[in-house]
Amino acid sequence: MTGTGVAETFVDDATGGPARLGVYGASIGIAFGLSGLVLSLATGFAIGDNNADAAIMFVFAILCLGMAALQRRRPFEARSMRPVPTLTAGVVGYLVVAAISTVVYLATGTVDRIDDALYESVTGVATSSLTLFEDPQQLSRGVLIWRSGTQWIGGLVALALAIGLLPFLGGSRELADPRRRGERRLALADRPVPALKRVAIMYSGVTVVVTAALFMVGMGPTDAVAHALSSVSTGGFSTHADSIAHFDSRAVDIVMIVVMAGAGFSLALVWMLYRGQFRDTRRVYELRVYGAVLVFASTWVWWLVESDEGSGDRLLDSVFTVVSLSTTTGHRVAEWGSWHPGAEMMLLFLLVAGGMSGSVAGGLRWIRLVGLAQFVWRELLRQLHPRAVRSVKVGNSSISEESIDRWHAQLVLTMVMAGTGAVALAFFGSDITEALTLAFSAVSTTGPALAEDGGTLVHAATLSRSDRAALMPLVLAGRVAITPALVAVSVLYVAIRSRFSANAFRRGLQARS
Amino acid sequence: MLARFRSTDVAESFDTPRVQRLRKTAPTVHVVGLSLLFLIPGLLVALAIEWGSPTSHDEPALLLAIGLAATLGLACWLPTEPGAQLATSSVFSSVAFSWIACSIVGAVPYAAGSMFEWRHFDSALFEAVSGFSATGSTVLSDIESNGAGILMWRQITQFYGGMGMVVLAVTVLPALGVGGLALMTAEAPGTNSDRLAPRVTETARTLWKIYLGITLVVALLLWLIPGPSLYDAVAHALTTSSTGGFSTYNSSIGHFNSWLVEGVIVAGLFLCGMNFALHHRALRGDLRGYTKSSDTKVYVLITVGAIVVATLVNWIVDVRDTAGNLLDVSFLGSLRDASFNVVTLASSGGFGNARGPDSLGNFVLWAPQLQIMLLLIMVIGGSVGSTAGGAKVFRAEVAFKHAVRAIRRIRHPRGVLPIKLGEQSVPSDIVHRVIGFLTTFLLITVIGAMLVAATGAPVLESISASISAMSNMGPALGDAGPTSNFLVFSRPARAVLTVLMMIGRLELFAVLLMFATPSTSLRNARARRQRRSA
Repeated sequence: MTGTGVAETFVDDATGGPARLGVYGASIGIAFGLSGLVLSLATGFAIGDNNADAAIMFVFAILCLGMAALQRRRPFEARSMRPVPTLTAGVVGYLVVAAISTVVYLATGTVDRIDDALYESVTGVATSSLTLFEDPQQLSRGVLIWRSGTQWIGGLVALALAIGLLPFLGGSRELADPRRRGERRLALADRPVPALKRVAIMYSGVTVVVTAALFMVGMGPTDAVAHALSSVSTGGFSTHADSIAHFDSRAVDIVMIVVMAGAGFSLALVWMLYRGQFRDTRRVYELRVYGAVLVFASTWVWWLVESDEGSGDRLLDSVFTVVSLSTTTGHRVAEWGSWHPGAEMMLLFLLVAGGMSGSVAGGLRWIRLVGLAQFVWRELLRQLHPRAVRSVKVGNSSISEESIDRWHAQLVLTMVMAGTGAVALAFFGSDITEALTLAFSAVSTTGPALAEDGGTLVHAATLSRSDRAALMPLVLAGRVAITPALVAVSVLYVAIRSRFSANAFRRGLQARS
Repeated sequence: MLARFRSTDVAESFDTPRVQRLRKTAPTVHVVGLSLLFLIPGLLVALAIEWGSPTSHDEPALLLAIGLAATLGLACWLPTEPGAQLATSSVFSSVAFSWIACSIVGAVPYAAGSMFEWRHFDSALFEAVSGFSATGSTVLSDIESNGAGILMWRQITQFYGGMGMVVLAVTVLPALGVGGLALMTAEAPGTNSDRLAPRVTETARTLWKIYLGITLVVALLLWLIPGPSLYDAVAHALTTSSTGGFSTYNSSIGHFNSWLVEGVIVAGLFLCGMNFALHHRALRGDLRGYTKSSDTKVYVLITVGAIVVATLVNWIVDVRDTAGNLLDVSFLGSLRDASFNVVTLASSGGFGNARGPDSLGNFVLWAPQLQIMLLLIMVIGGSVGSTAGGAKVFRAEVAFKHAVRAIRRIRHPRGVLPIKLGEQSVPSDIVHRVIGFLTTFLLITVIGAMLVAATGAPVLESISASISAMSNMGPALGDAGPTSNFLVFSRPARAVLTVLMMIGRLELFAVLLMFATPSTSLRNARARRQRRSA
């Protein structure tokens, strides 16, 4: 995709009718539309609490919905859904939401500096929970809802990106039918656009159900909506400084565990559950792995924490923390950063591993890790039997060599990106443990890390501006699974090069003459 | 049973199931026996030094080890023959079991002498495995309190380990009728990248000569420099050429406080972190090998780049000692400490040049970004075909280019995008092996770090010690830094690290597949029993 290619998607066609909407236009339109909807919701909560915020948000909601409506009038050009434009458009969508959010934070006076507003916005859309605010209770209700809403939008865009990728990337068939991974068929629909609509409806439906559940177990309306928005998206923003621990309620903890664990499920699996295909879910290999990991990790963490503290009441805390970090959500009920080192290590591994493929969760995803482990086993056997032909299998499905290549590339890029980020963070003042854990946590879009002075780093207020600047590209790249971010960067590079190259300059001179 | 049998003769005359079974397991046992016998010269040298030492008397411990090595070695070697052809599974079993057997026997002098008590045999084993795997991690809090002979044995274990005892075995295997190529590719560096001679035995001899040559030159140079005695020179040369890192002094190379000594060690480590095949070519007058090899270029680039960065950062940024006082750092001092520590970690040497815990040579005082950089250097390690550990530059380069290709493939789905190192394309088979190796490396390191942390070690120490053990490095970060020792870890943690050192030295696959032959034998035996009962 060249710079001219990007431009073509916005140019009227030869017939003189409205320009057909390409993936970039669609992505920007969706970003505006979703922002408008969430801003409308936030406006409702702001009324009566902070009317100035309500007015500002209302204006922005109208503007965003208007922009989306303008885009909606143009017919969508389905042929424009080619790999590189789709990947790049996803990144553009994120940036548009982040830009809108930045303006909202500045306009409402939530933060004074543009870099702070941008950090909170990027963290929000990237569904990382490392917020800038030490005590979110000081914010108005409308801003709290908008803040969680940015995470909700981020989660939905991540799913949209996965669907957009599906037809092109065999290795990223996250929403393919998990029972028949080899066939590259969508579980939700035959084509991407209807699948996207169903995903949006399901995502919204689940959010409403979770809101109702949280409301029923004792949360107030603002808390319930905000936590629902930030939980189904595996975001992790809370309305309280001590996160879920604030409610001190077993019922809330249990509901949140269920919600977060569900958010780590593949959406295709949720679709199967919605359609009542409960028996079929047993055949989903990744679900069995994911379930086994959660059970094992919870037991491991609980055992280590109990052996260290001996308090006897850490089971729920252990399960909650394991589920929260393995789904890269980041909600807290305990200071896990001061737990037994073995428990900390397991939790760090879980946040890097992430949830199921096709879920909103970040991280490497379990299907890839299992696939890579199977690949290692195959390579071991090949040492003994060099001429044997063996395929890599995950469950009953054979995985292509291309997919293995991509999964390995993902692993290497994650390591390189986190390593580079850790060096940058350390350069700006973090100690080694904090820099390493913060970088990996950011790349997996989780947020919390091990703090320099022991304990858990739960907000970015104590970090320097340079640290926060280094974290932004990490979380954004992690949210879009790194590869699209790098593809977008390469597209941008090629576009700039073609725009400013000597030939382009010469062509410009000729056109002018 | 003590009568020797030749597998071919046996096959012709006694083709019974029992004999078949015996023949199957014979190669592993044979190589293990041979490896144990090779320990005896080293033990004798150590015994001679201990005898002459006026301060310590651990001769009985060394004699016990000699007796054990001779008895077990002969018991394994005499009644067996390796057979005409060595199966791949037998190769892995031979390599891994040889290493384990040598480590156990090699630990006997430590446990039977005054270094450790028998009830702390695990510590002795840790020290021995650290030696034979050329890692350099130690659990000795006071190295200098031990006898000269025992300490020399400690150095010799690294010399054995550096190039691989199997290489030593390969040099005499032709006389025993063993095709050594399989052994070489399983363990020894050098043959994967460049064949120096048509026959593997000649290759092994050539590598051995280069290795010995570097050791002698380093020993000679160290001896000529004011400071080290002949004993010191030889002891440190043995662990320099093997990129091991053991020293006979508590403060390692920092004991000499001499930039000349450090310069010789750095040069030796740097050379031994490069492909030995290139040294061989250089000795024959072909110096272009260094400039042509992409692997070497990247190794040099990483090392020099890291030295420059570390020098400048240490010089510019405030460095504080353990008490929080500002260190007075000159540019030349920074260059000296940066060069030593970067090279020792890039080549997986693991020496320390700190003149005390509060000197700049103690790299845990460096800026955090430099310590993370050192951690990355530890993982990458040296060149293929060297005595260095780590994942190796070649593999890191292939993995990175492979990841970049995955991005390019999205933009050019139909393009033919080969992975090139220098001017040569890397075959996809090799790429897959590299991917498999690195993924295994990562998996084992993560599992190791989790197990070490489960024993109560802090996260940073767990991760860095696990990486250090897998890369056969020596020091770790945090409390297990270059001026400290691995006594900071509990006994179960040290047991985990012992296994990791072994796995790392044997390039993962040999240890992971070491039970292939025994399990196949067991499976066959079970099948035979079932057939018989049917």
